[in-house]
Amino acid sequence: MGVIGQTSAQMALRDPDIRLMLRVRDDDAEAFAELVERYQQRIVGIMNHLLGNTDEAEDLAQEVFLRVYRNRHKYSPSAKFSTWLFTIANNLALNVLRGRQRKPTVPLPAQESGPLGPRPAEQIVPDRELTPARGLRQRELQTVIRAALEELNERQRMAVVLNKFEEMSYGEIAEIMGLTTKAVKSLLSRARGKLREVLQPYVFMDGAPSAEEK
Amino acid sequence: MAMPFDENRQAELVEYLDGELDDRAAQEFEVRLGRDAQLRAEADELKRVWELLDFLPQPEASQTFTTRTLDKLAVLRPSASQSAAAKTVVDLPAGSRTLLWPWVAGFAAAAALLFLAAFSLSGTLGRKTPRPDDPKAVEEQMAKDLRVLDNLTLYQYGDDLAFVLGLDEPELFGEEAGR
Repeated sequence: MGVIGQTSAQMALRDPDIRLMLRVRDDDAEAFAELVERYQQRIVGIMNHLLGNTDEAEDLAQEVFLRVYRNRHKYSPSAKFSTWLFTIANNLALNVLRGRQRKPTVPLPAQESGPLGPRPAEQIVPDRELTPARGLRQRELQTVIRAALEELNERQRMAVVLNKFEEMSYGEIAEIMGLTTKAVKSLLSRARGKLREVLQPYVFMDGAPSAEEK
Repeated sequence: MAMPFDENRQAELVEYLDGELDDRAAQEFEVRLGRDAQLRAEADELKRVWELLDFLPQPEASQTFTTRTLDKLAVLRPSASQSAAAKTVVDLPAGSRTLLWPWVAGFAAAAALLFLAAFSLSGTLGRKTPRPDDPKAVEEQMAKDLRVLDNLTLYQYGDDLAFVLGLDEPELFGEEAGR
């Protein structure tokens, strides 16, 4: 049976997920199933935003949990359990994204459009005079937004996903990504600047007036 | 490498929008926002672009995700059996397995002693048994016993008495310690 020090014990007392993970460390499969249930939506969600493919996202999310299980005997609580889990997710996702960069996919021909592939930006002409009802359909807007996310490098994309969809602070993101808070601030600033460059023409598609128009 | 001025301005703006500025810095920034229409327009644009990300679908994990993950776990379990504890059972000659029983019994005895120590230190054993006609005392005693039982699984991780005593700290449980 594993033994933990006093600081870890106090962390275990505060974090129910650490207590669960300590049971997983002791080969408690039920505790592992409960952890999977608790975190699957979040892990699948971020993987989906990072990879843009639901099946691949689930496969990678599953690998995150399997790594948790494979490394269970080495587990020693030194942070929140979620921080440890998302660190594993971050490492796996970055590996996949860097692998994609090394083996770039063939870009789709210009006539490909709709749900089968991204439509080149020049075929989606933003027009601020068009109302949302007559303008881009939501699915096309999603395609554009996803393409904008893919313009970011992998670390910028990870920081954006953790900040936007997990509502993590700069400090939490820094811990997960192994960076300083200052580095995260720079990542997010540049990422949001890039997103603004690409998505600025579509900003008024939600129909709400801009600050200038108010 | 220092960021150019406009990147610094953008970085501060993003930090403000993300709520990462401390109170004083946020207040100072708001004063600047009030005076600078261009800054306000940039803030508005950044905020709207950020909100566009909400249009992305939020897919849910498939209903079979947990089951499929656990199925893969079953494949991993042969490696789990290679853990130190399992190896001790699997690899020792049959006659040596009887040597394990004193260790198992010793551990169970240690766990039981730790449990009794927790009860003693919490005053449970040292106090008189509450009278049945004193419902308040009975209820207080039950609450103390329940707290011990709730944390029973944690005792197995305690490697010293300080940890056991720490279980009764109110700040760790958000409740008053019952002494």
